[in-house]
Amino acid sequence: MKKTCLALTLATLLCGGAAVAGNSARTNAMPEWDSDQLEQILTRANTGNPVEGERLHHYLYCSACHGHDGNSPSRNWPSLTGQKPDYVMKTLLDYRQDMRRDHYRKAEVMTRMTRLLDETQMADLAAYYASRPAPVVPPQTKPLLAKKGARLARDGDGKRGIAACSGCHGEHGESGITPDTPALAGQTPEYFILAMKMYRDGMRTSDLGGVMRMFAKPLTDAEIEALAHYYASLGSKREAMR
Amino acid sequence: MPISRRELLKALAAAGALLPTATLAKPRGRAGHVVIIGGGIGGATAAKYLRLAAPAVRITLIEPGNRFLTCLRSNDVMVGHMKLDDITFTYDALRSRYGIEVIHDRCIGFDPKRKTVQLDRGGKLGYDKLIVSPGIDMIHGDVEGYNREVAESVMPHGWKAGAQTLLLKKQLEAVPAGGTWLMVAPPLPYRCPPGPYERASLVAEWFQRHNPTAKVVILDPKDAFTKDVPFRKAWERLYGYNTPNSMIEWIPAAQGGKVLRVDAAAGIVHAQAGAFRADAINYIPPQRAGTLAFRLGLTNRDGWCPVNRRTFESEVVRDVHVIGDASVADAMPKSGYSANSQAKVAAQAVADMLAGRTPGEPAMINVCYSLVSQDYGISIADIFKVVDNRIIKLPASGVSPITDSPAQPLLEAIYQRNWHRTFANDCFA
Ligand SMILES: Cc1cc2nc3c(=O)[nH]c(=O)nc-3n(C[C@H](O)[C@H](O)[C@H](O)COP(=O)(O)OP(=O)(O)OC[C@H]3O[C@@H](n4cnc5c(N)ncnc54)[C@H](O)[C@@H]3O)c2cc1C
Ligand code: HEC
Ligand code: HEC
Repeated sequence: MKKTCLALTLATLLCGGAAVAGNSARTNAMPEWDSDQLEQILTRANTGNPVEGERLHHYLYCSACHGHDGNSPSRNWPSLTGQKPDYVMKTLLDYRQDMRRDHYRKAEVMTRMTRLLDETQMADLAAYYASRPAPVVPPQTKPLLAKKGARLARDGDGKRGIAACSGCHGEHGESGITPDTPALAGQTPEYFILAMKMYRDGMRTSDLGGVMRMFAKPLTDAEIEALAHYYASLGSKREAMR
Repeated sequence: MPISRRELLKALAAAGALLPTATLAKPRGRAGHVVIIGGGIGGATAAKYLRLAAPAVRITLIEPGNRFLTCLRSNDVMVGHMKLDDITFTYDALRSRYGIEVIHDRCIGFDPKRKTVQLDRGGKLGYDKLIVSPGIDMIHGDVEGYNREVAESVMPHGWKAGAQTLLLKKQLEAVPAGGTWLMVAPPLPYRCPPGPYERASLVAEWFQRHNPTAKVVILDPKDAFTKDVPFRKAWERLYGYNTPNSMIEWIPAAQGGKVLRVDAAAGIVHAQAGAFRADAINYIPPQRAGTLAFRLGLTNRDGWCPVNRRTFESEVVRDVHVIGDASVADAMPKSGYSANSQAKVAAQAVADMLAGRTPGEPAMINVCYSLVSQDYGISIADIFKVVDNRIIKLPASGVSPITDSPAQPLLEAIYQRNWHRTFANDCFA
């Protein structure tokens, strides 16, 4: 997939050799994607049937955690709506290959759930979530924090080698330059924070070329929190969607 | 250590008494001294929740072991999915966080008139209220050829976690290719009604991976068991149950499942249906209240302890409360969840009685989770209340539905693993 490789190249350009440093010694044992492999498998990402995906979403109890229509009602679980099919398909494969881990074993449920899915079903689910509008602003979003996060997200911090998040995740967090870059708008802040910390600690190794591990590394806890609330605040405002 | 004004007010509010020198950490006991015997699921929970309900009461827990191994998930240890460490808990938090005196000794008797308990090594100890949670003991000797020695060597029960669990594990691993693993299931009432069937299921799963032509046979003195519908459905799905190649054979009473005698040396169990030779035999005998309950004279003719169902105070001896497996609790099954639920009721009742309040109406819960494989869980949840001194099940209860969604039993299985830790923390931390 050319676009996947683009993200990789971009990251390497932005930060030189640092991308390699992202794969630090302690993450060596973790499985990682090889981009050809991924490209091969993601050719199916856009062949899914959203109607079948909706059925699976309920039949396989995805709705129990991720919400009736993929817009998570709880701070424990991420929202899935508004994601591009490539990202969802990839992330389901990531779980199945045990590439997403965390200190709290929150990902374990997904690792085991995805072992029930074949790739056709993954594509169907991905098509369904992509067909739904972006999640609404989570109720726990803090506007003051959101303001603080905005600058870093839009401008980055050149001195510390942090690229503008919006460069990849889209001007409004709506998913960006490659279809396997996730949308962040309206995402549950608790989940966002966990994801960033797991990149920072090298636990989550699903990011090709260690891109996110590299950007997350210099960030402080406070910055991560501000970024989380900023992106949460970009969610859709339509309350009626729930 | 002097008590702060705030702590004092808190203690006063809860105990309804003036305690100028009491501290929350080590109350001096003018609000009363409660001795709890048995630091298992019931006893540990009672100690912790009594502290929460009665900050000023002195609480002493008597338990011979300095660590507790939960039977809960011990079936996972037997098949190698968990280690003994994963089911081992200490009394550290009860001591340090809840100010409970823990004495590692065995209670060997008591004087209900003078209100003292006799310890094996530690002399006598006075009490105002006694809470007893001694668990169960096995009835050996009602079947020819089966006795304590057999139970500790060739036919372990594994119905108390620890050495017995490891013995079962060793025997399972030694079953030769294509061999037979046989379980003798117990008659009701016994600890953990779904436990035998969970264990048989996990043994079948273990065989699938390590000894695919071996078989599991269950000899049962009953014709039905809890959750048998979802269990048998799962056996069909996972282990070929009801086909000629089934890995599990369940022989109920109606088909001669009752055991008549055993020949331990030859590894043969003689049942009404005939003689069964097996390479490993897990004999789970009939059960009664823990021996301590007999020593203290708390039992009825059936070998269990009758109690007031609202307070769990013994119907035989005043100021003694019996909880957990040893108590007669009608519709409530003998489970860790029940013991935990009853402990909270008894703790509140004891706190109320010490403070001169009338105990309220209890509501109790039991949820029994079982794994049929590592990826397949089933559960039953019930709510209970007391009517005319009987514990009855409310109609709103739930057994896992049988759906065709593979995600449903998987999520139950994941949930159960997580639940074990949460639950043990509720009892011990
Ligand atoms: C294989 C298996 C699996 C199980 N799985 C589950 C499950 O998943 N969920 C569930 O809810 N339940 C489960 N159970 C049931 C659960 O273990 C029991 O119901 C629970 O332990 C009962 O608590 P208790 O306090 O009555 O007894 P116990 O927990 O057995 O505690 C009794 C304590 O009393 C102490 N004691 C005995 N005599 C004396 C004495 N003379 N002096 C001082 N102390 C003494 C003992 O040392 C022991 O620590 C399972 C049981 C088995 C066998
Ligand atoms: C028991 C709750 C639960 C169920 C059921 C569940 N999930 Fe998840 N899901 C989670 C949690 C928790 C996470 C976040 C884990 C982490 O931190 O990696 C997650 C993450 C995800 C993600 C990644 C989100 C992102 O932005 O990267 C996807 C996609 C997903 N789940 C899809 C599904 C699908 C499809 C199903 C049904 C087949 C499902 N989930 C069922 C709890 C659940
Ligand atoms: C070079 C492009 C790029 C830049 C710049 C970038 N990201 Fe990412 N980000 C990605 C990609 C690609 C992924 C998906 C990685 C994966 O699959 O694990 C991702 C994943 C994430 C995730 C996980 C989302 C989820 O649903 O699990 C978060 C959160 C995130 N990025 C936040 C940020 C923040 C905050 C910044 C700015 C500090 C940033 N990203 C900068 C490309 C980028």
